[in-house]
Amino acid sequence: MNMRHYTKNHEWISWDGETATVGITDHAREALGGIVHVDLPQEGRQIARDEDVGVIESVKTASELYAPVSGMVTVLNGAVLENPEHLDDLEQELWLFKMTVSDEQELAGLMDEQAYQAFVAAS
Amino acid sequence: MGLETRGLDKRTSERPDKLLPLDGLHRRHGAVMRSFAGFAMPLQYGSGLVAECRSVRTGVGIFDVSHMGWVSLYGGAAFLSEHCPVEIERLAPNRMAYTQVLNPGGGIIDDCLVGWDGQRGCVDAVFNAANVERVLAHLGGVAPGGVRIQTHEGAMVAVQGPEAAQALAPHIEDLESLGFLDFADRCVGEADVRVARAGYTGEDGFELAGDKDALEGLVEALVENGARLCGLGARDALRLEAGLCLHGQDISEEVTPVEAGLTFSIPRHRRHGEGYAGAEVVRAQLDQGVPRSLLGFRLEGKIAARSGCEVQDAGGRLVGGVTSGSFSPTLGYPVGMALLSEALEVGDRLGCVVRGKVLEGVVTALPFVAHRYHRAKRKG
Repeated sequence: MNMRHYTKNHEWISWDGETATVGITDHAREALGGIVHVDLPQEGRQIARDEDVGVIESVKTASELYAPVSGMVTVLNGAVLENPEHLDDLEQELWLFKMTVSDEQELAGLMDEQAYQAFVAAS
Repeated sequence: MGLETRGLDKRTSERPDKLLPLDGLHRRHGAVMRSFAGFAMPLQYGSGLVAECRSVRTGVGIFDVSHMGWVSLYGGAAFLSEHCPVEIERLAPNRMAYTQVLNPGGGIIDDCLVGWDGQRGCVDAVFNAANVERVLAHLGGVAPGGVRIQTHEGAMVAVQGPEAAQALAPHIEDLESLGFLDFADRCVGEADVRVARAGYTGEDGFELAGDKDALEGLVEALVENGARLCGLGARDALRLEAGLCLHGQDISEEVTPVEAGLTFSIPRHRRHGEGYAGAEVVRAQLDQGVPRSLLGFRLEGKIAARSGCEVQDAGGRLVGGVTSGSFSPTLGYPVGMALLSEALEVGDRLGCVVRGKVLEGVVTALPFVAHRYHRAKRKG
């Protein structure tokens, strides 16, 4: 299984050496409460680490989505765009889009699972 | 994602949060806690805000509102009536009224429910948690000698929804004699509890205040029987659907009750009268109109315009700002309230600027979701 990396903005990224998958953590999904709309970056777009690339709109808040690393967006999760209201009931962790990774070193700067759980517990 | 920047989990001040009397209950039931008005409050529970809203609209939901400031004023009915449009002395015993504490300019220092407790001989008022210190300082500073203000400790819970009365019936006697805005003392277990048929959701329901252990036992029994615990997130979405103002967002010391569409809460004989702080401004605004008013709107699509967004008219001119905005879980579209220049009326098109884009919408009559309060059958 690929190792997951986490950002302080509650995104996760998992990289298989070729393609990375990006999503938001269950902690973030639960904190949002009632997702109603998702905006994602277009396929083919070059995104830079920490760039504001989308929005997750829930009943109570709109939360910006930030790029965990730099690269190019390759695939969007169409189910998320079409039926965002089903995201609350999703059993597995939520993935949003896939991307290439320009600089592997950027992944090393992110948290691992254990560090992220400690970060959530302390916040 | 920008969870932190939205303040979902962040403390608002350096002062440690006060714990609610029912703090342990919330944590046992998996609440996500958030700092609000100096208290650690449940934001939502595991089932989520949408399910919580649904329970209140179709069944029973329970809110912890112990953070609210419940006070009794002894010898202060006439005095309080000099600071509120409502004349407390004219209220029937055990009846409450919605009113506002006004400053001399007619601005709203806080909005509240007030009631005349005939048995104890005092006026009871429930103020917003964030304002209670400010209101009591204001009233205390101008109170004549002989007025005594007592603040109550203990727990307060709101049981709301079309099945609220049915759910409470096995635990509390004679609820059917209470109509909307009536209150009485009733026994819960061994304890005396203040029961008011009131709420902040637009649904029938009760607010119960008193002994912590009695209320904790009651809440556990209700949850056992299918009532759902609801957090601040659901409370805010429901009150907005019901068109009810939130002080600090829709109303403030800069907004008068006439501008806020609260003229219904000013007794007729006082609309053009005097004798209370702000009366001259209220009268002038009712005679000459207001430069701006608080109006409801709905938007197309799924994206809500939140508090602070600019509002444009159909011609693209800036006509005001959003004071509250949320996706409505009950209606399935975004709704909000905005302070708008008087030129706009129900049915007029408007646009809200959200992240640089203009979202199209229309001025809509309040409430968005009709009130379903329980009107008691009265004799005569």
